[in-house]
Amino acid sequence: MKILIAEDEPVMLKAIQTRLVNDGYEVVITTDGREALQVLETFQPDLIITDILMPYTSGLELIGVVKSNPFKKIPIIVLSAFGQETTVLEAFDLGADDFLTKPFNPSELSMRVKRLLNDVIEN
Amino acid sequence: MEDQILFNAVLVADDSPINQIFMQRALQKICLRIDIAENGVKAVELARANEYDLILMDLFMPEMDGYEATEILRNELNLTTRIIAITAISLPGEEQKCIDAGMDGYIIKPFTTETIKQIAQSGRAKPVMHFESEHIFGDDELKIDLKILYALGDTTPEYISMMINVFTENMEPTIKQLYQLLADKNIHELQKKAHYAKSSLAVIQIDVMFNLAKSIELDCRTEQPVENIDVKIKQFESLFKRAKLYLNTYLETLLVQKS
Repeated sequence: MKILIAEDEPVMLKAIQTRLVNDGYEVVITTDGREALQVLETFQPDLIITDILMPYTSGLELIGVVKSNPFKKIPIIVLSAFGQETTVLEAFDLGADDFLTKPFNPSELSMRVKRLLNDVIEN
Repeated sequence: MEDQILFNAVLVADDSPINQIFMQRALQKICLRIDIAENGVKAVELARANEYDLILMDLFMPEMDGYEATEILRNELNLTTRIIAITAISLPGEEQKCIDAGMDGYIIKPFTTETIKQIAQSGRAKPVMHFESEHIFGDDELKIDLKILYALGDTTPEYISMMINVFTENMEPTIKQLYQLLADKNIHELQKKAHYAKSSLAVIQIDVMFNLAKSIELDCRTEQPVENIDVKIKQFESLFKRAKLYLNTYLETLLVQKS
């Protein structure tokens, strides 16, 4: 299973990457929404994890682009923070599938990823 | 309030010249005589020849460490003088180790003149923080929690130290940018940068810094006066500097355990 991560903050990015690689996934990392969109031109992940506030292309724009493409109905987990509730709702409107509020427990990340990927296989 | 003389003579055993100067400064107003020993051997020598009201003992010194020196003072010289350990980090079991060696308590570096005064006045060291895990350390004002870092799955010293280094290397320019954005009165970008700073503090968990970043973010959103935000960035920076000392000591301990 392949996962694409978009997160501009290096500690958080490495943290998520480590956990998911440890869980056995193939992980591709990007540090902003624009880079994520570039990667998506050639790489087809089974799941995307994206931060909201990023330079160049925000997480919301990324979700908008991915979910408006009928061939890329890839599940998306949004990384949010306290105080971003309205933005998370916006992300859901755009088609995001789940969200995680920082700080989160790494086991919770694993569990949510696993659940979304299982959903994908069942459907 | 005028400082009172609280001690006639204090012995400080510490090998670091900076600490020696700091301790002398912190103590000079409250004691008549301060003697400095640069290692445990010298501390034992001085304690044999002089009478002290208090001994402040660094734990890690060349030739003879603080534990061994204390054992000699207690068991061979039969001294009953209060001995307080000076330590850079609060690790589990360390308090017990100090007590086993015969010390009366310990204080954590970096500390203030106030802390030394408190010891003098109460006759006791500042209560030691008890942390539930060896991956949590710091002091009562600055708690650093690495549980999430360890829960990521890779617990090798190489990985943990890499993550801590990424954290400190990234936080330094972030703080510079916070100051710069404030100077430029670019409050919108400042809010984003404060938000950004929170991300790494959610992995290397330092709640007091996390909350300060959150508060800066909120101040930007609610257009608080620039001076208020400036004070908070300064606090944030000063907390980070202290956190870095703790993290560096933690890294040294990690690498020692490994070798």
